[in-house]
Amino acid sequence: MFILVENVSFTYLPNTPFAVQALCNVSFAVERGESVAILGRTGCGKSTLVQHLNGLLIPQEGRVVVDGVDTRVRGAALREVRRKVGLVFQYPEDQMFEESVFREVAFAPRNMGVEGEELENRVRWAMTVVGLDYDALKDKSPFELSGGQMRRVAIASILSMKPEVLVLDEPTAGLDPQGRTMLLGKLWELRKQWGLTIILVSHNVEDVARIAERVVVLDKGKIVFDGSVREFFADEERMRQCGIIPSPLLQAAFLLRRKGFAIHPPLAPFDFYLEIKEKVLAGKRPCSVEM
Amino acid sequence: MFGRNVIIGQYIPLDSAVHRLDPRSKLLVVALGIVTLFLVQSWISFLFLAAFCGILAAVARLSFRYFLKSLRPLWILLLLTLVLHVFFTQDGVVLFGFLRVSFEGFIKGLFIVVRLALLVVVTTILTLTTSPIELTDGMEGLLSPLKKWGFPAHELAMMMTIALRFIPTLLEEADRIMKAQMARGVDFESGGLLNRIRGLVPLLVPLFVSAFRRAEDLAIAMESRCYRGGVGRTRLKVLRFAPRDYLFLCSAFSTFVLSLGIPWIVR
Ligand SMILES: Nc1ncnc2c1ncn2[C@@H]1O[C@H](COP(=O)(O)OP(=O)(O)OP(=O)(O)O)[C@@H](O)[C@H]1O
Ligand SMILES: [Mg+2]
Repeated sequence: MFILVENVSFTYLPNTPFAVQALCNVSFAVERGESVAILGRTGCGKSTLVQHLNGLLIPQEGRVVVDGVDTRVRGAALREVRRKVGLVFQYPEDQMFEESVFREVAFAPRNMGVEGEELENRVRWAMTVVGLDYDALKDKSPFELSGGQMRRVAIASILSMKPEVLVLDEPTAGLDPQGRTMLLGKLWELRKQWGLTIILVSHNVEDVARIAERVVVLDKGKIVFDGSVREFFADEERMRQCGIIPSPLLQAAFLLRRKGFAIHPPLAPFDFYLEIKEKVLAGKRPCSVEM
Repeated sequence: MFGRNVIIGQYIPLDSAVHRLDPRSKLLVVALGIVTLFLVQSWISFLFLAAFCGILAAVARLSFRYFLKSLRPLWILLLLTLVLHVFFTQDGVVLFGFLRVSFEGFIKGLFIVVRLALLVVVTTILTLTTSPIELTDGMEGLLSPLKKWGFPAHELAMMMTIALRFIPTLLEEADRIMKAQMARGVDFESGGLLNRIRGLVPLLVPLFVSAFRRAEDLAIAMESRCYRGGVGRTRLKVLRFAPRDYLFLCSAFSTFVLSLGIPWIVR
């Protein structure tokens, strides 16, 4: 087991009148190479959960184990956990502070003690992987970039640590459709070409369908579903109960089904996604996945 | 840990008669109470004032714990006051050499300690039962007569309100950025002084960037809602003295007058 979350509970501001229980006895495991989406309505504890995965938050009850190391460790071992599990925060462009894109992307590996040529190689690699032109952008100020470019710089600044798991908290929030498609395509490539484990937090059903194979749904701090994407998207009732609004395509499919058309559970649009995924997996042209 | 619910000051949102009092009357009473505390010279006056505080705290359903908490940062000061009085009052009994202890000094010291403690208790009752926004509203209300002479009461209150409003937001933001940088391998907790100061750059730069952006957004939002300062502005929550405020003011004034006058009465 690569990442193990075991009976984790977490309360913000415990023992005060403002206590909020954000996680309640959460357990799940992620294997190497999996691609998992964490879904759930707003405030259900998704961000809290992913911050447990790299030891930014320590479980008040239960434990989180990453590659055999309990996240309660300190010092160098903790830094290694944070390197292995690269966490991209919600609106990651808010964390930028360096004067050039190069320095921004180089920041994390520098903190890990990488220097010289190796550093440059990593920055070049990370920027290329997310589809940024290294030579054109490396000396620009990150604040001059467009929203989509900034987001990609932010993701590159995590990738440059060479993490083994990439955890993304709502990576497509606030991006235009093009930026979104581009980013999701890149993530999919990363998974395919570099064998990265991906954990994706999202509100967006389509994003999930494009990237993930497995879905973990949280509601009020508890896991209410853990299973395959196909299984989850087949059941409209459950989806709505979990507070997740089906995408327009899915809604249309559900409607047709209710009207008696024989559109059966593995619904058409998702088959379309899955087909593309399979094609990509089979190595047929890493395409930008588009509707 | 910082959080979105960080409260500035120590406001405990309960629903009690004291909470519901007009902030202006609370501010007025606290100001007069502080003056009284500095004027009184006898123990029996303290008894009155302490009883008054006790009643208020009981009505507001504040537990004793909160007061201990707010006294905690001061205990060294209080202890020092007491010790200095014990050892440096002139008519003490000589222990050895120049060191003397004085019982009278002890009593005097205790008097000052009680005065300081009551001071803290009075202001704590105010801050525990009045939200910061109410406080600034109250201050604006009390200061607005000075507007005639050009005193910017409204602007001052607005600035305080905005500052108070954004402190939790900025703390939350700082927490988020700090975590984001920790995810990139920054270690805020260890290393020498120089390292720690250097470690603040990745925190402070994004924080300032976002603070300026927020300030600009806020200015635009205020302007697009036609904010033009306090002139002719009406309020959503108009401060109005209720009967309970008059009752509160009267009982407070009589307690203060009584505690000032009582030494002469009992004599
Ligand atoms: N720093 C904090 N201090 C106090 N409470 C918090 C803090 N962060 C989150 N919470 C509370 O914990 C609960 C879970 O929050 P969390 O941010 O994990 O939700 P989320 O699923 O990520 O929501 P969203 O989809 O809006 O990002 C919420 O009720 C939230 O109000
Ligand atoms: Mg979140």
